[in-house]
Amino acid sequence: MKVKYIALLAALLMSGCGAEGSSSVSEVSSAAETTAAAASEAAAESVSDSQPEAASSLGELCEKLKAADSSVLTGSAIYGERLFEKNCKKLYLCEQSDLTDGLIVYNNGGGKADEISVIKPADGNTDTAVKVLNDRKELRYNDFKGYVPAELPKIEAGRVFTVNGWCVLVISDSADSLEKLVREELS
Amino acid sequence: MNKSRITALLCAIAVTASGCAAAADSSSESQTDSSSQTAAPAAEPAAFDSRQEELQELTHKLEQMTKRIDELEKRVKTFSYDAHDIYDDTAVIEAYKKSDSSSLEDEKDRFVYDCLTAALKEIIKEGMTDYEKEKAVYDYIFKNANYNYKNLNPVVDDTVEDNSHTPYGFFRDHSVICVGYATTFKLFMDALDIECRIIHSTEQGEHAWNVVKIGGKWHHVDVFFDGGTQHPLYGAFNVTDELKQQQGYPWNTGSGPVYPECTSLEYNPVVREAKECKSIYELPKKLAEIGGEDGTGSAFFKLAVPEGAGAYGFCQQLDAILTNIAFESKQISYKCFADAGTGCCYISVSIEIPDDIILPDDSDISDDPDYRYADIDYDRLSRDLYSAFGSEVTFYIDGDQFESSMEY
Repeated sequence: MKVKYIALLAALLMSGCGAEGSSSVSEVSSAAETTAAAASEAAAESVSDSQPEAASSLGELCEKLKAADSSVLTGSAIYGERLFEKNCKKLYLCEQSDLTDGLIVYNNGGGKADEISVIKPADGNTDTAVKVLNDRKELRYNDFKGYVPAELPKIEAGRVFTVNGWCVLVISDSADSLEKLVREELS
Repeated sequence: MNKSRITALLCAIAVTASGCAAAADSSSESQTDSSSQTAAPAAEPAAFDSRQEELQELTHKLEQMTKRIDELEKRVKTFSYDAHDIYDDTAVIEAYKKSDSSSLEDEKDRFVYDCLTAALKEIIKEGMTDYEKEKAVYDYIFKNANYNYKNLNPVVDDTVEDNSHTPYGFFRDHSVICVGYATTFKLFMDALDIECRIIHSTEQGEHAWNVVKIGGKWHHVDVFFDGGTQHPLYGAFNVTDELKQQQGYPWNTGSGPVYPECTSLEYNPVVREAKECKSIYELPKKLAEIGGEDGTGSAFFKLAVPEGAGAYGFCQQLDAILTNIAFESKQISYKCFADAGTGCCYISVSIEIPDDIILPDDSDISDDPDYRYADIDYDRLSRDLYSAFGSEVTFYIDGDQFESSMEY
């Protein structure tokens, strides 16, 4: 990324030779800002444009997960729902259209880190999806670090695994039984 | 800076320097230069110096641009991270200074203006010092807001209006996140003409707090990290960089704005008002004296670090002792911090009727040599606690975890 920027800078500098240096600096800054702004806009547009091709097959799993720990797992968002679409980038660093299916079950009361994320990447690249889920675990650790440290051991013990092309993150005090449930349902 | 980046940078400098000099001058001048190089060797040093200056200037500009790229890259990286906007209080403060809200077009700003005006009238008295005003505001915010833990939900429903990061959320819902605490505190300080800034750290999770200038010195103020539940413990009120760093959110890391150094604990209420506790064994009696008839209330104590122990090690022991004191019908909340400069540990304690608020625990074990433990007779301490509180209190601590590093 940085090399690209430097190359861009070099090209701009060369093309701007003879012009005053100060204007080159501001041009480059504004060019880079414009690029970042354009990327943001493009990403925002693609969020609203992405439409799932089919409904999620994970509705039953979602209900079973919520039933398994009903006092804690109180919220959910499933592929195809507006809530999932709107949060996909924040949660999994991709658009909904980059997945073929997915769900998140979580605690919506606040203050609990419990979460089960299940995603299936459209390109079949589970390595990248596993990395994203591991990064997500780290992000949640940082989110809770200063605010509810009592949740940190649970997050640290969170597990990421794959089943039949599905990538799964489980953060829960009942991680063993929930992992078993997920594996059974997705096998 | 990595190797490929350095190479690219040097290439850019070389290409630019060689090409720009020619392009910057007129073509005839450059032809003249070229011919004069062979005809007049004496002119070479001057031309060389000029090129070198040019190169230095370009290098400087590239360095500046590199910094800028770093900032932009950081912004791109954090694009998916939902850092909250910082509320701009300029309009409300201008209206407050003029005592005229007619210029405020935003309904929320008008609400904030009304609430701010009423609150300041209630808590600020004539003749107060800046410190007293600051503390009155801190107490008011502490008392009137709870942390909105829903902010930690992984999924955000943007159809539900959320104001918890603004003073509007503070005044209307009394439910805020860190950014809401920080923006509200700054709003009050701006109204009172006390210099104040907001630190918004997003490198390791999002957190925001304030730095405030009192008595000519800057201090950290973080209402969220106070540590108290019903009574403020002032664990993060007018504290130093060193104490703030223990809470784990970085600032002044090279990118973004630079914040002033905070080195003084002079205006921390615990340090200012702490009663001396001559030894750890005196603590039970002191704790029993807290509060009125129902035994609830708060107090601040100061203990000198025993000879041979380190300030941080002793502080950690005090922390563990207080953690392990449990009451049948009350709860104890506390903050301990060490001031290596004075060789003292400060304890801020509050004994309260319990509620369901989640207490943060930010204790970390360090390898610092100042983490040497003191030799404490926990059996004696236990007896003293029972003697002070009777059967209402239970206390158990595994003293082996603090095996003393002192030699006898």
